[in-house]
Order: sequence, then structure tokens, then C-alpha cells
Amino acid sequence: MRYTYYPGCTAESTAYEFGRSTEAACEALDIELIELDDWNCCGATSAHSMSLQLNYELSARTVGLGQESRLDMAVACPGCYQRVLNSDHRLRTDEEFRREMEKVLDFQYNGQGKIRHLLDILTNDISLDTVREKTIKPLKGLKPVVYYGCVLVRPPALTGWDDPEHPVLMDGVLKALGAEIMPWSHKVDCCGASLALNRSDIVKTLSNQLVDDALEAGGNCLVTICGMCHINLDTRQKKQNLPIFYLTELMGLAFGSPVKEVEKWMKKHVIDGRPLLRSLGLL
Amino acid sequence: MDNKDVLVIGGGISGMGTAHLLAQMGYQVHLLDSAPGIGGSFHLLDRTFPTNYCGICIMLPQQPSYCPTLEAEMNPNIHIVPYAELEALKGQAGAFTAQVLHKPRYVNVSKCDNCGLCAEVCPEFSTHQYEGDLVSQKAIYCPPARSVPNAYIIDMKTCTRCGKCVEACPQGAIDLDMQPTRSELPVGAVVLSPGFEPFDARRKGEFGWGYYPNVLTSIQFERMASLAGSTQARLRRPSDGRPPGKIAFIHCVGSRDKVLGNDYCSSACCMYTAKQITMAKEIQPDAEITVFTMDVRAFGKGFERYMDNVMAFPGVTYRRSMVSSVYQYEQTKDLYVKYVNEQGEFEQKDFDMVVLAVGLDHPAEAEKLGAASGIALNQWAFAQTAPFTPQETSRRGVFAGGAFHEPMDIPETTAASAAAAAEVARLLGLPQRKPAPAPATERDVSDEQPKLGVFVCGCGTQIAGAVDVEAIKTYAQSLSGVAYAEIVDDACKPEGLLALGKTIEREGLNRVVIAGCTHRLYENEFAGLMRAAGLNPALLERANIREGAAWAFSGNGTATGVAKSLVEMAATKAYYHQAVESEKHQLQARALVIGGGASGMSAALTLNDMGFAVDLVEQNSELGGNLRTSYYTIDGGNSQTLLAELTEKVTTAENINLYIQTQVTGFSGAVGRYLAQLTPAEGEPLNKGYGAVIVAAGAQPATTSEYLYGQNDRVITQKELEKKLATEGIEPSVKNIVMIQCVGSRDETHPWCSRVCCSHAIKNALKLKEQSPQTNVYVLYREMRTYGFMEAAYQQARDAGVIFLRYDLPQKPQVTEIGEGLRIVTTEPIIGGQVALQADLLVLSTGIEPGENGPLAETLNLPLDEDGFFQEDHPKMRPLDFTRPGIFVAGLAHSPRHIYESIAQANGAAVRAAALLSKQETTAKTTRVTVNPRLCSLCGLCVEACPYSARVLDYEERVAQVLTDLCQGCGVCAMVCPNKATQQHSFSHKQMLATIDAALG
Repeated sequence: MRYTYYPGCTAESTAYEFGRSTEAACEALDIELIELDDWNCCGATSAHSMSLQLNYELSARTVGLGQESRLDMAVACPGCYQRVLNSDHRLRTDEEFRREMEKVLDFQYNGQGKIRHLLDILTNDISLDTVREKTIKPLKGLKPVVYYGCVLVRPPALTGWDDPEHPVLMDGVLKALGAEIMPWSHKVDCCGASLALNRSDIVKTLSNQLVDDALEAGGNCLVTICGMCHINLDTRQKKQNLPIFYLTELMGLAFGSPVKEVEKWMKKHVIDGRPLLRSLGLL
Repeated sequence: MDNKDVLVIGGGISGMGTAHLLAQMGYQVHLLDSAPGIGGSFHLLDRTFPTNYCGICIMLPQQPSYCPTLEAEMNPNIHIVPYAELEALKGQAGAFTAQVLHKPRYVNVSKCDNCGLCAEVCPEFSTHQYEGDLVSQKAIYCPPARSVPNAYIIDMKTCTRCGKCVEACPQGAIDLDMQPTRSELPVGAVVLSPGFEPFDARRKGEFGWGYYPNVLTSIQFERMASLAGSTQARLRRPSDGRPPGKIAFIHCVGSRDKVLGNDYCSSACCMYTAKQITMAKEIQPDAEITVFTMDVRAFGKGFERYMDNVMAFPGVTYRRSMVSSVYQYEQTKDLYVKYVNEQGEFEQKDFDMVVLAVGLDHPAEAEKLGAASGIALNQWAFAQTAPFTPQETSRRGVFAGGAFHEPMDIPETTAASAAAAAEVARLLGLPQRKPAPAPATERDVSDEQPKLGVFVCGCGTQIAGAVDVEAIKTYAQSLSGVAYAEIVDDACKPEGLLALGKTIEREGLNRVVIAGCTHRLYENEFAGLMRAAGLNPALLERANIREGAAWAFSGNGTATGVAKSLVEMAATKAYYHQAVESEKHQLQARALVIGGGASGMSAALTLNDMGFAVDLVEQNSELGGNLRTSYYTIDGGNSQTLLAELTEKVTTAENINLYIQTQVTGFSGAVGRYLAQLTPAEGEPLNKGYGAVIVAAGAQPATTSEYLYGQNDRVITQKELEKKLATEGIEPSVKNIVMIQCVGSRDETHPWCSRVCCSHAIKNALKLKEQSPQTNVYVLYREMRTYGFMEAAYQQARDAGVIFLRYDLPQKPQVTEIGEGLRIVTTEPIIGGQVALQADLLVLSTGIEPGENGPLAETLNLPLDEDGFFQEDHPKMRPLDFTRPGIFVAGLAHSPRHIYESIAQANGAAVRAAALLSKQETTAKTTRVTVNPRLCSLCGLCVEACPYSARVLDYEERVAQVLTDLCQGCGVCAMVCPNKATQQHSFSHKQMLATIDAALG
């Protein structure tokens, strides 16, 4: 399976381990990721708060970079996914918008290749059976609550997510990896996101509420697939000490990435998840 | 029109109502339902507001009656087509061909006798939809008990075709290879009444229904609180069976929701929630209940009081806030909600159970049905109709009944279902009545010794399985007067009836006892059997040994013992039976319509179109009533055009006599032959006879002296504004307009909601914005009650920049004059402070108040309600009727309502009158009472006791007379009569004492 790959800026900076583990997990599944050449910011957070136009131009450029290969584009970061998907949707459906973008960015939109989230690719292209087969170290004893965050699934009309209030795609992957999912009500709640910069009090409240809810639900860890969520949940905890993992890190672990490599990812977390994994015999 | 058969699609309250009315007028009605049985949504309901009981049985035109589903099954003019769908409708009005698909039920209805052996052996389970999926059922199951036809059905989605049921069925009724079939029905008209679909709560995933066990829909809660439901009226949390101490209700789930496309109000949920709170508090008085609401829309007759009452229950809190999400604690399965309170602060509250007040969505098959019947649907997939013709769809000859026109509550549904019948009758004309069969000669048995025949029915295995029928037969033979006894099987089947008739004649019997099922079943069939055998039907007695013995008791001979007792009682009673002559009265085929407004004129025209003579009486010098001061409607109708059309038609109609400036000053008689005195302003009074009467006396705009009205000419009413907008327009100098709602409504002096003022304010605000978009319009409201599709106009007004500010009753806005204008200060609860507005024009939404109804009510001997509107027989099920038969009510005389609602009600009342008038004669009940004048002491107890006003004291004859037309045969007067002067046919004193003796044995 070949896809163009748009890592997004967090995967190269604050969520470095997210980017690397994504690549490792995909490799294990024989997913070939062809990183876009000269990619840029998707236009999330600061850009689209200041100028919607700039946001569209940035993400439309990303669409343009990928389309030459006519492959679907794989995106792991929810923010990037939502922005690029939104631009692609408008390029596809809004004639005037398309003409404008083509002029500004000097390209011809060909509509080839879709914008796909990694979870969609894992479930629908690769299949959970393959995920199960590739799992050589089942995550036995890991009891995660599964946290999608508020951005990934919304707006449902655009993302076409399975059930926008109670999504199950990540649950499926984690189950295939051998984890025991703890049901909870907060899969798509907000962690506070970029309010971290100007209203950290709100982020603190929301993130701690989520961590408390995760513990109430009986989880021994929380699994996310968003760099922003990870930062907020990992760094704002009072004293709960709940490990926050990226799905891709656990995939890498289960698919047999070298322990040294896995440790390298997880060392970057503020709450160290390794003692838990060690106690379960997974590290 | 050639073909007078009618196809009614949908067998809920609406469809059944239409079908019964048409059947009563002699039409042949095919009542088609896509469900396995008719009944629709109503039998999900444990009870209805504001009466707090079911009452469905009284919705039918003829009283007394059983449940309408059962009546539909028994009515020879109604042909039930269950589990079927309309595929196409060809032809045109008067000559349609309906192509019908009959879905396979896999059980042969005529063979199934409901023994249930199939379900016992069935290994597959699914959830019980009827119980809101709260309990499980087998793949082969019997639909709800009151559904008709009452036979098993297989859910093929669950069935594995294992064949165990086929082997188990003693009747050979199950056919797993049953295929869909098609048929064609030639009909003259079609009524679509597919009802509504409860909103699918899954579409509001944030409330967690289907994920959190203790989040229920209101349907599930209704079943749980119902005595007939799976928990038998015990509130239990599905997660752990614990009674819920704290319950939250969330309003508007699937209503007033633009994102979902359901941006209309479902009209019923606010009130049914209030009803469910009453139920919850009855079951669990200490329950703490919180309701999350946007507006409380209690706009119907009597609803405001009901709501006030519920809101005042201890432990009940209404929070004006929408909930964004419901969360669950995973360990306890308790729930919590987060919301913003009235002070703008975040709050979180824990609950044991959350109930979602789901709205009324369009019927599931709406689009298919619309395409098949060739009618246009509106943007919400309900039937598209025009402003003043709520039952007419885009295709001539196809009409919309009930909630298919707009989400509505039961009283409106009842009126709309009758109005649909009216449209059918107007289109097709009345069917030729079949000449009544010559009465069979009845043998006079009064001088004969009683010679009883007892027929003991085994009812397949239903009775014979639990009762020793042989022993019953032997026992019956030993009873006094019994000349013959026999065991029969399936006495109700045609061949069984024929054999019974022959035996009665052969044995020369003169009294008959049938021991079998309840007397509610096969009443007509057994009466026919008696007549065919030359006997008066009153000489028949039924002993209910099925429901009363076989089904109620089992084992140890108890059932047989009880059955013996029942048979002995029946035989004793039959011994004393005497023939009862049926009493008939000629009927005056003319109707009187009182009131010449929109309702009165519509009713008169409908009757005229059906060919009935109508006298239309109007006390004023001109026709039109309140329609005269209406100019346009919220949905774009032109009221003045309607006024002109109605007036023109009424004045030129062939069968309508107009009596302008005339009042009804005298009234007497009984149904079918009322006598009224009409007194014109000038000239001699006139006495005329009428078979039926429609009261459409209207109402008047509420008056006010509040808010400087009458003192400052910048203060006008909404009606005055409407006139301005429709004629000269607003002066350009008017830049700021403030409207105040609920002036003369919902306060101490007028404790009711006037229903129309919110949408009147919206329509005028929109007109203002249309004429001059720069004008600022502020609406000070208490609750916006733009129910149904009018909600969309409310949204439109907000989009157009109309500002809505809420106020609470204790803090009414203050209005003062300042310079050239007005200053209005109001307390705004959301910002928690006062807002001052400058206004060039202040518009008061004055409500509707009853007219001077007292004299008319007294003349007609009709009750008024506590507010002064006419009091109908039953607010829910009989909104068009008075207790006094043959008199109907329509329009504002009943309660405040919109023009289109008045028209529907008027057409409904007209068809009710027509159904009565088309009968030519009225028949008295055979269980009526008679009086022995020698024993009557004129004490008057019977007059007080009679619920039908059928007993009157006659001082000339010195006896308490019985008005036989009014007597419903209930027997209450016979019970209270201290001298036993009153005796009821078939329940005489002597007879009842002997029967009791037999029972005590």
C-alpha cells in the first residue's frame, strides 16, 4: 500500500515521538509513506484564527503537493487532517474557491487522491485482521481509555466518521493489538487545545477532568492520536500519574519495534509510561 | 364521482378516526397499515394529558364503544389491510387504482389462534420494539395485545428458519415460505395518515442513548411507567434495577434542531413530559426531577393550568438551559450533565436516569409514500399543504390526515382526521345507503315457558384446554329452564353460526346462552344469529368462560368450577330475558350552524357541499367574525381573500339559509330532532327543527388598559399593527418598535395561553423587516410558543435581526412616556439586569378571550369551562363534541387557535354532523331504562345521577321521564332509584337478584 504522507509540524517538534512511531508502525504494516516534498504548515491554530484565507491557502498548497502522484494522502495529526480535508472538500465542491486557489498557488487541481486519516487507512485498507496478524507482542493487561479528541471527528458531515459522538475506529485497532478497552463517555471531549497558550486555567480544568474520568472508568492509561491532546493531558496532571500514549507508539511496541526505539519515543513523555509497560511485561 | 370506496393509509388515531367516520356514513373503507396491526402510536401511551387517563375508547363517533382498533375490526364497512404498503396510485380523483404490496407475515392470520406454542419453542431472541427495546422477545411474536389483527408474526431478521414453530403450531398457520403478494384496490379517494416516527435518539449521540443503559427515550419511559408495560409501572434503572431517585428530562431532542434539519417544534413534548412527571411522582413521590428546557410550550386548551400544577410539584425543577452532553460514571452507571445555568455559570449535576423527550419526526415511509401517492412533501418530509386547506395535498383526491400535515397533539389529530373525512365526503358525495333489510319476523315468546339452549364453546384449545367442557355441558343440562345443551367448537365462525341457528330452530328454543369468549367479541354476529332464528337479540346471554375462567385460572379444576358458576349465572339471567323492541325516531336532515366567522362559514359550506340543508346564524350584521381583522398569515396566506371567498360561497350556496343579525333564543328536543327558536334583530322569531347543531360562536380579542394602551397613541395592538402593515405601512419616522407578548394571557385575569400571539408577533416582525430592514424590532416575551412549522419563522425572524428579550411575570416591563416617544424598561434574566429601550411604537400582543357565551350556553344547555369558553366533552379524545349528543363545537368558541386549525375543526364538526344527519333516523339503545310511573315518587335522584342528561322530571305526568335518545343504557339511574321504579332492559331488578343468588350458589 502506498500513500503520500503529510506528517505536519508537531510530528517534527513537540510530538516528535508521534511522527517517528507513526512511520515505524506503518513500516511494520508494509504501508509505504512517501513524504510530501517541501510541505508546509496546515494552517491550523494561529493561522486560521488570524486569517481564514491564509489557512485555506496553506492547506490547499498541501493538497496540491500530493496530487501529482494521484495517491491517497495519509495524515495522522487530527488538526492537519481536518484542515487539509476541509480545503480539499472546498476545492472539490466550490468552483470559485478552486479557481482562486489555483491562481494564488499556481497549480491545477486534479481531484485525484483523497485525504485519509491513518485510522481510516488501518481499518479500511489494511484491515484489523492484518493488524492482529502483525501483532507479535499483544498488549495484554493494558486497559486504555480511548481518546479521539474533539477535532478528529468533526465536522461529521465532512469527515464521515463512523459515529461522531461515539467513534470506534481507534478502539478497533487497540483491540486488535490485544488491549482491553475501558468504555467511557469522553472520547470526543475537548482537552482545552490551544487555549494552553492564553487560558491555561481552562486547559488545566478540562485535562484534569479527563484524566480523572479515565481513572474512574478503570483505565490504566489513556491513548490518543493527537499531538495537542497529548501535550495537554501529559503535562497538566495534578498528581494522577496516568500514562498518556500515542496509538502509534503502542502499535510500534506490539509490532515488535526495537525496545531501544520504543524507549526513545516514550522518554519524551512527562508522565513516564514505561513502568506500567514494564510491570505488564511489555517492555 | 363513481367509486365511493376510500383508502385510508395508516391505522393510528387519525386513520382510525377517519375510517370510522366514513364507515358511519356508509363508505367502504380500506384501512391499510404498514405495521402488522392497526393502532399506531397511541397504545404506547399509558395515559394522556391533561386528563391523566387513556380515554381512547371515547374518540369514536358512536357511543358507547370499545377501543377503536376493536371497533374497526368489527365494523362491516372497514376492511383492515395490515402489513401492507402503497406502491403506486394510478388514475385520478374518483377513479384511483391503488397498487398494494402485502408483506409476508409468515403466519396465516385466519388460522392463528394466539396459543403461543410457537414462541415457546422458538430459540431466537430479539428486542421488543413495542416496549422500547427494554425487554426481549422471540423471533415469532405477537404484536401488542390491543393490535388488530391479533395474530403472531415472524421477524425474519432474527429468524433462522429452524422450523420448530412450524412443527409446534397445532393450526398449521405458519408458512416460512410465504411470499409478498400484490393487489389492486379501486378507490375514489385516498387519505394519508401515516402519523409520525418518534425521533431516533441515536442521531443525538451526545446524549448517549444506546450507549448508557440509564438514558431512556420518553417512549421507553412511558412503557416503564405504564401498568401494562414490562415493569408494570415500576421505575427501574435498566443497569441495576434500582429505582431512580434523581431523574432528568431533556426537552427538544430532535426538535428545534437546525443541524439535524428538524428545525420545527414537535408541539407535544413539553406537555407529555409534564404528564410523565405526574406519572413518575405518582409512582415515586420522592423522586427529584429536573427538566432542561428552552421554552415551555403549553399552548393548548387547559395546558397552562396543567403545567403550572406540575411545575409546583415538590422536587420538580425546570431549568431553562439546553444540555450539551450526558456523561456516564462507568462504575455506577450514574449519569451527569453539564449545562449553563440562568446566571451564565457552568453547573454539573448527577442523575440516576435521564429521559430524552424525543420529538415527532416525519413518518419513516414518508418519502416512499409521497412518491407512491404522487404528492408533494415539504422540506421536512411532511405533506405539503396550503395555508387554509390543511387536509388538501398537491394531488386532487389525496388528503392528509393527522400529524402528516404537521406534528400535532391528539385533539388536533382528532379534528384533522375528521376534517380529512369531510374532504372525502365533499369530493365523492355521500354513498347511497343500502336499504335496511326488512326486519325479520320475530317470534313472540312472552307467553312461552323459558326454554333455554346452552352452547359451550371450546374455542379451539383456548377454553377446552383449561376447562372441562363436557362437565360444563352436563352441569348446564341440570339447570332450571335448560332444555338443551351442546358442546360446539368455534361458534364464531360462519359455519358454526349456521349450525347454531339450525339447532335453535330444531329444538324450538326461546332463550340462548353462549358460553365462550367475552361479550365484546362477535356482538353483531350473535345478534344476527338470533334474528335469523326468529328470536329477539335481547333473548341471548353470554357467559365469558374464556377470559373469565380458562385464561384466569389453571389446574385443579378451578377453571371448570368458575366456568360452571358463570354458566349458571348466565342461564339464570337468560331465564328472565324479555324481548326489547328497538325504538327509532325520524331525524331532521338539517343542521344549524351558530356563528358566521371562519369556522361557521367553513362548517356550513362543508355541509352544503355534502348536500345537507344548513341554517347559518350570525348575530352581527356582517359575516366574517375575527377573520375580518386578519390580513395575512405566518405561512403567506391572505386572510382577506379567504374572507371574500367564504362570504361569496356562503351567500350563494344552494343549501345554506343565512340568518344575519339573528340570535338563537330558544332550544329544546333531542339529538336528531332539536327545535330552535331564531330571533332576528327585527321581525318575528322563527322556530325550526334541526338534526344537528354546530356551535362556532367565536371569541374576541382581549382588551387591556396596561402599558398606556388607550392613553398614548404610540401604543397599539398586534392586530392594529397588522392592519397598518397590510394597508398604509409604517410611517418612516418609526425606527424602533417594541412588542410585548402575553398581554391579556397567562396572567391572573386570563390564566390561559392565547396560542396565536407569538406567531402573530413573528409574522408582523418579519413583515416589518421586509418593508424596512433598518427598523429595530424588539420582542419582549415570556416563552416563544411558535409550535409546529411556525418555529422556522421564529428562526427566520432571529436571522433577520429581530431581538428577543425574555421577561418573567413578576417583573413585567415598565412603560413610560418620554418626550416624543416611549421608554420601556425590562428585566432581562440572562444578563440579570435591566434593559432600557426607546420606542417609537409599542405593540401589545393582546390575547384572545371568550365572547359573551353565557346566554347562548344557557339556551343550548351547554357547559362553559372555567375561563368562559365552551366546554367540550373530552379535551383529548372528543374535542369536537359536547356531552349532549348531536351538538358540536368548532373554532374560537372552543379555545384560541389559528385560522387553519379552526377550519380543520369546523370541517371535522361538519362531517360529524353529516354522519349523524345521513342516518335518517336515530335508534335508542336496547339496554335503555324504563320507568314504572306508579312507583316513581319524583325524588329526582335519577336526574342527578344521569351523566347524559337523559332523565327529566315531568311534573304534569308526575314521573321522572326517560329521554330515550339520550339514554346510553348505563343503568346508573336504575341503581339509585329507591323505589325500583326505574328498570333497565335486560338488567331488571328481579333478574339481577336471581343472578346474584346463582353466583352465591
